Amino acid sequence: MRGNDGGQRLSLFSEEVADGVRAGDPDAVGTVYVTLADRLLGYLMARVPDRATAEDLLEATFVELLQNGRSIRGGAAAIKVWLFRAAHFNALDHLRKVKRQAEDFYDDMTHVDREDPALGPDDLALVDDVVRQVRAAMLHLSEDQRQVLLLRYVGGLTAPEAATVLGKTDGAVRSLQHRGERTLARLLGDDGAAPSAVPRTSQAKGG
Amino acid sequence: MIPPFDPGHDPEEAHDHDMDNVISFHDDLDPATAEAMARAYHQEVDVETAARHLWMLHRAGRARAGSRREDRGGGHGRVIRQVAVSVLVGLMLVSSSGAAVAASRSSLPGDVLYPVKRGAEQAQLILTVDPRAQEQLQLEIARTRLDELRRVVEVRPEAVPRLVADTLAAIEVAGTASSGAESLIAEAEAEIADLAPDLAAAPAEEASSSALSAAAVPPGSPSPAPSPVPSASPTPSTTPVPTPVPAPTPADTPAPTPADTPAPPPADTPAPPPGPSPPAADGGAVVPPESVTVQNPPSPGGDVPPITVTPLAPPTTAPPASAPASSEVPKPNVAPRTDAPGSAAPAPPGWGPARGLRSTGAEDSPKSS
Repeated sequence: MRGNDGGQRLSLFSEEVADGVRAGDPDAVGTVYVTLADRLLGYLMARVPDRATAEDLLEATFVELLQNGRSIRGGAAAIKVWLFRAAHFNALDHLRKVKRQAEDFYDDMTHVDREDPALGPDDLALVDDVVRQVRAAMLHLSEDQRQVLLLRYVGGLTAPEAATVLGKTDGAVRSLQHRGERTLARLLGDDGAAPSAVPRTSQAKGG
Repeated sequence: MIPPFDPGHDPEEAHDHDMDNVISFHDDLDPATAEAMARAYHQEVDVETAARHLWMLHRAGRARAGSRREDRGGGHGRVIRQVAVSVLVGLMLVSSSGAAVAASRSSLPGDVLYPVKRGAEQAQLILTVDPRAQEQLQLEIARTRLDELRRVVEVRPEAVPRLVADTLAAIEVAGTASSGAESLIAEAEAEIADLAPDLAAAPAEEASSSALSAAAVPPGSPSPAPSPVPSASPTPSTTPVPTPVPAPTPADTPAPTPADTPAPPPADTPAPPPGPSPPAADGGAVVPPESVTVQNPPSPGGDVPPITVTPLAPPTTAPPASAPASSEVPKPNVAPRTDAPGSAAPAPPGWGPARGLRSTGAEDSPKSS
């Protein structure tokens, strides 16, 4: 298992580590953290408004992995999918909670300076124009499209894995992805950020 | 678990399996979108956050283990914490917040970043699976120590004794691991003899003597102070009673009678290490046989040996190393030669359980499937 992915980019943690995760070994979970934390954080930060929240959700997700690792059927890939699924629901939970709180909050405060729900204040200071445009364009996608794109591009999941996380069929994920890509390319193309992005490729299916 | 690539299989299926174990972009992704998304959403966990999270994980793991079986107790936490630090440094290497690591590369003992450098070495060792590459790495580390020694002797002589010990330990490890170390060893010995002639011999001596004294304790041989025969005590003992009453002897501890207490009290052992450094005998007893134990050089399994074997060993095989516990992280600055030099923990100061333990509600996790 370890040998056959020689020169490829970044191999996932080994199956021994996966066994450790299923046994509830904190060190194994720590290794998984080292491997996947960056991607999960990227995914979570795309979902929730600020970095601190995303980091908290990241931590909660891994603590859940430690506690519930036994229930995972499958190896390293299954654990990866499990993590993104947990992160997905943690983000959903958080957004619901925040929404409820915000409704109470708005009764008192009439204005909250939150110009872009996808960007936290510290991000706003840093991001360049392209980043801002991409994030803004993402807001024009449907929720499902956005989910699929985030899982596939930021999370690095395969289409079937993304389908598992979202509870959709393979085909649905693929079509959501294609439509999302097209919309994004059109929006960004208009802004000149990603000139002439080819809307759709189908070479993956051919051979 | 996942079958290797099978060309005779349905291509779509085989493709998915093959890619399962690899984080990479798949060829059904649009390159332009990939670039845009990477720019917009790429994130890296910073080291401090990772430290907090890993600490939380290990705390949660310990709590879990403690609640389920008590018998694992003591060594467990130590190992966990030690590995946590290694994992953390591994994270620094993997993610490109390795700026600190890069900056630490030229650091010397006593520098703020020096522990980072040492930690990074350990992490590299852990992350290296191939035994031959590991040997190479150990050689490299030994060379690095020697190089540091050359440089530090000019600017920070007070750090030399400690570094000599570390260098010897590193060379020892490299020597046992690989055969190509002879020239390095010779070079190092010449170098050390040249730079610090008084230190070249001393550490080994000290180590052997401490090993001797430590080994002498268990069988019940008398440690310096207690005199087994009452009449032999230099004090003019007027009592003809053969039972040695502890009162008049100059020994600061009650002398044990050879008859009724076969084992002398451990208080008699010379200079028990005050803090995190375990006695050498302890180390020899606990270390699993395959781990590279360093007995004679004065770093009793301090930082290098334990991790050479099994990076993520089961917690029962407690390495004798000083666990980088939060409160007792040894400062790497100026260490007098007399306190056991093995206490070099790969933990930079400030990493530890003391920092914020924000516990987010892990219990309200959505487990809907």
